[in-house]
Amino acid sequence: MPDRRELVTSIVTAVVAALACSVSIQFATPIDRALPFLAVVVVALNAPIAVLPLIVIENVIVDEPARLLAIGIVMAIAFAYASFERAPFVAFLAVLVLRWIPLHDVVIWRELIILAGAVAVAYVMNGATLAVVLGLFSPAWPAKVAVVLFVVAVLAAFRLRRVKSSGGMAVALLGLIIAFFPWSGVMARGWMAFIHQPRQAARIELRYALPPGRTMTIDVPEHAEALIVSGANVQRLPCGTVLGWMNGAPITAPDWGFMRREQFFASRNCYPRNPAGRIRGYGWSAWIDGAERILLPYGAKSIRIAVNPQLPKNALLQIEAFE
Amino acid sequence: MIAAAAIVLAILPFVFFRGAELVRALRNQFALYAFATGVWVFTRTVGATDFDPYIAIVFIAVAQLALIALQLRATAQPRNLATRFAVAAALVYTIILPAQLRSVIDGDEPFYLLVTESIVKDHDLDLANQYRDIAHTDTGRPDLVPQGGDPKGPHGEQYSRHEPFLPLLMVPGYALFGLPGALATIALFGVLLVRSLVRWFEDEGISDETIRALMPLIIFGPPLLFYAVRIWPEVPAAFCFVEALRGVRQRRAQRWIPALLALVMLKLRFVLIGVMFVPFVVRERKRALIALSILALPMLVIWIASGSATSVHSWRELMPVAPMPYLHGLFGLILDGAAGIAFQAPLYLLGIFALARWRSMPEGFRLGAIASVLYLVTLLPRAEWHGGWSPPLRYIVVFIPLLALGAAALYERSQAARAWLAPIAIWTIGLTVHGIAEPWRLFHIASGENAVGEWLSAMYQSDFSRLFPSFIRPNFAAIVGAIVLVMLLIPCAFVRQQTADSRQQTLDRSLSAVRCLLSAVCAAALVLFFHFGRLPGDRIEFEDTHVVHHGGELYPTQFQVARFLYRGGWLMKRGDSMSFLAKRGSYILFYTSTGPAVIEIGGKAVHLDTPPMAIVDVPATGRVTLTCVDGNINLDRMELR
Repeated sequence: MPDRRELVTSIVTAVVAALACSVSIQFATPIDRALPFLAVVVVALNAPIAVLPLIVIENVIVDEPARLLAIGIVMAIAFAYASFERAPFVAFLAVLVLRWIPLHDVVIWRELIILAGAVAVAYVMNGATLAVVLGLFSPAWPAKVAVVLFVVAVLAAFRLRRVKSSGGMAVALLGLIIAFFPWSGVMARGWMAFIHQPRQAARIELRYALPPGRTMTIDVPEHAEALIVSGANVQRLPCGTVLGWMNGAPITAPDWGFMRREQFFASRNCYPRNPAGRIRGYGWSAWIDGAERILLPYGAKSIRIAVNPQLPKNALLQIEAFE
Repeated sequence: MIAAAAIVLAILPFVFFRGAELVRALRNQFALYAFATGVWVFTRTVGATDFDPYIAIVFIAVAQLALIALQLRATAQPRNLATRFAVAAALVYTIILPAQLRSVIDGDEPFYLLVTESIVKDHDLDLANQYRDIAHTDTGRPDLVPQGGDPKGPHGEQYSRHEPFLPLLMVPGYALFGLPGALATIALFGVLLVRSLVRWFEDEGISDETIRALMPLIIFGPPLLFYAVRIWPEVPAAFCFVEALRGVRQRRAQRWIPALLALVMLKLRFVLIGVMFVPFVVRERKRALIALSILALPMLVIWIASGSATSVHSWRELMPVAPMPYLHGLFGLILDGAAGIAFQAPLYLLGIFALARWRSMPEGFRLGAIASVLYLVTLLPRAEWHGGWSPPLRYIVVFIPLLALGAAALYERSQAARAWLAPIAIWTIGLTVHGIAEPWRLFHIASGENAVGEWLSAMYQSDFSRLFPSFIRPNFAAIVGAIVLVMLLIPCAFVRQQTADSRQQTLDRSLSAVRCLLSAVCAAALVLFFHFGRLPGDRIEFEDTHVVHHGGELYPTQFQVARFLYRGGWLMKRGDSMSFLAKRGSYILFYTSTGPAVIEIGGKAVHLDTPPMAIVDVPATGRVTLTCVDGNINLDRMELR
């Protein structure tokens, strides 16, 4: 335990660091605006020196993804440095960093359940990594699932205590999770994106939303290779449900917003097979839209789209763009 | 090269650790690779593609060294540190060497190599034929011509001003492997220096814990890392200096005599160090004779080679001058943004503070400091105290072991010194990555700016360079820096000395608190730095990076020999313009022109016909455009009245 002098010094340092970071904010993303909070976290992790690179990064890296990733890497190093001791505290801070940014999107009572669960697992395991992994992947909707999950996790942790979770690989895993905290929502709900990454090419926007049973013919522009489609109000349909047909070939696509945090757990959709979505939002609210790329028939001058009449009434097939 | 670096870095833990510690080190290394691979794979998903992969790889390699250094600091396992660190240095220098060869050798390096080539191929020191066929030499510099003032023989021989001893040392390496062999010779001296340095630390009573904590920063950080893989006499000289000091301290003539001889033979200026050794080694007439012979020998060699005992130097350079140049040089070597210890090798700042605790420092440190006095007193007033066209700290690399010993001794005695280690390590990692990834940027023109200042100035188009102390082109930050340094040194000198036990207790108790407060102070300073950096300053130097030039050219040209002796400026002709941030107010414009000229600034025409200065007004704070309306003009600077 730190003595009183150390505690006072740490508090003073945290206040100064938070003020310094608050003055340094240059950009409007929730991650940039959370810099003062991150400064307090690194001081709490006993790595106050990490405040300096945070300030420098905020001031010198203009490119948004590069800046956020650099902030993430600094936080990852601070957590890796601190992860060998005070596991419950480290888990507490890690869950805050992963799930409480942006703060205005946090439903406090739901998140408190997850926070308490993660701290309990870290306490029992005497290591932060498993707790942080659970904290990352636990759903806040519905809350009862989170409660059950953590009760099971705490019980399992008693059995798993002998497994050392403070080794190099555990720290690397913890670091990797923290490094991408600016997109923690994507990590939790769209982790497939990190393996099978979505890509975008130049697009010609169409923006049609077709109800069940509707048919439509569209001229294909020159050099177009693929059609970008997604579903709307189809998140409860199982994976692989045919939403319609393109020149007779079936179209399958997930709901456009099924990876949002409120919808994800209730959804039965799968990550697109040929993903074309892009990352939206920041922190725990980050998600990827479910746009899917459908290759056009070779040499087709026009395509005929027919929407499956068997779909629910409010379902829509969204024809987003040619690519 | 990447694979070779990975193999070498994988071997490194075996040099230091055994058993469980070795497993831990390898696990850490594997974890770092796993983390880096993960980040690498995932960066494309989040769209973070705006970075240089080569710099990222260098960063991972340096991070790996940092991990080993951290583990070394935390463990008490490795014994026989001298050999272990020497082997580690050999491994690391082996992989840094090809990285440095990404750019052609520069500064004095090609001249040393040319002499080596001449010795190997022609068995003489005459470089005339080398210059005639310069495209076919190993220098990779087809533009190379003799340096101004290089000695010439009666029959058209062209000699180099540089002493031939270093080229002689490089002969075997060069004969076997060409340029890489020559560089490897210097690296070998770097390895010898590391071994000798650790031994010296041990001789002077520095604990193993301190050696383990500091030595990675010393051998894998600037300036030793960069001078150990480049053709300069500084690293061999540093090795000889340490060996001479050890020999004198141990009273072993067979150690100090060859070391001192090699030291003075490397470069004539090192005779000034040798002279200061004389009172410590002369105890009988025979020794005095040996010492004097050693000091006379290099002059004899140079006289035979070039016809002058002092080569391009003169005895007048030893005469005292007015006090101001000494202060310039002294504070410049410590604080200058481009060429000072504080910004280019901050660890050795602790060595400067160690001087303030003279009485409690090891005897070897005091002996070395005394031995360096004459050299420094001669160096400080020189216009080229910063080293000219070379990597930073050229002229004081020879004393880096001395400063390292001071830093180590202070680290053992002072909690503040320990608290400073984290920011120093971060800055050193940055310098190391920068120097390995972009070796050509180790050479910086002495313009009053530095790499970081230029980078930020270009990014913000605002004068960040003025916030770095510059003694090459003195600025306000230099005055502030000098005052702060003196204010820090005074209490350091009068702080109460503690006993070993109470010292350790104090260290353990308050290190964390000091570390925290230091971080808070540094954070506040950084915020102020970025805030004031974006505001206009009181002085605009027209050649600087923050000025956006539309036409015109730099004067004197960038590679003008001894450019720092000139007032720099920007040549403009009719139609050229430039813009910069300035405060509202009345300024004195410094310029030169051969005839009348008209400029427009802030929408107002100003006739310039009485050089070297004129009064101009800036109507509002913000970006100002200055246009040359008529005539030709060399604009130097603009100062707020």
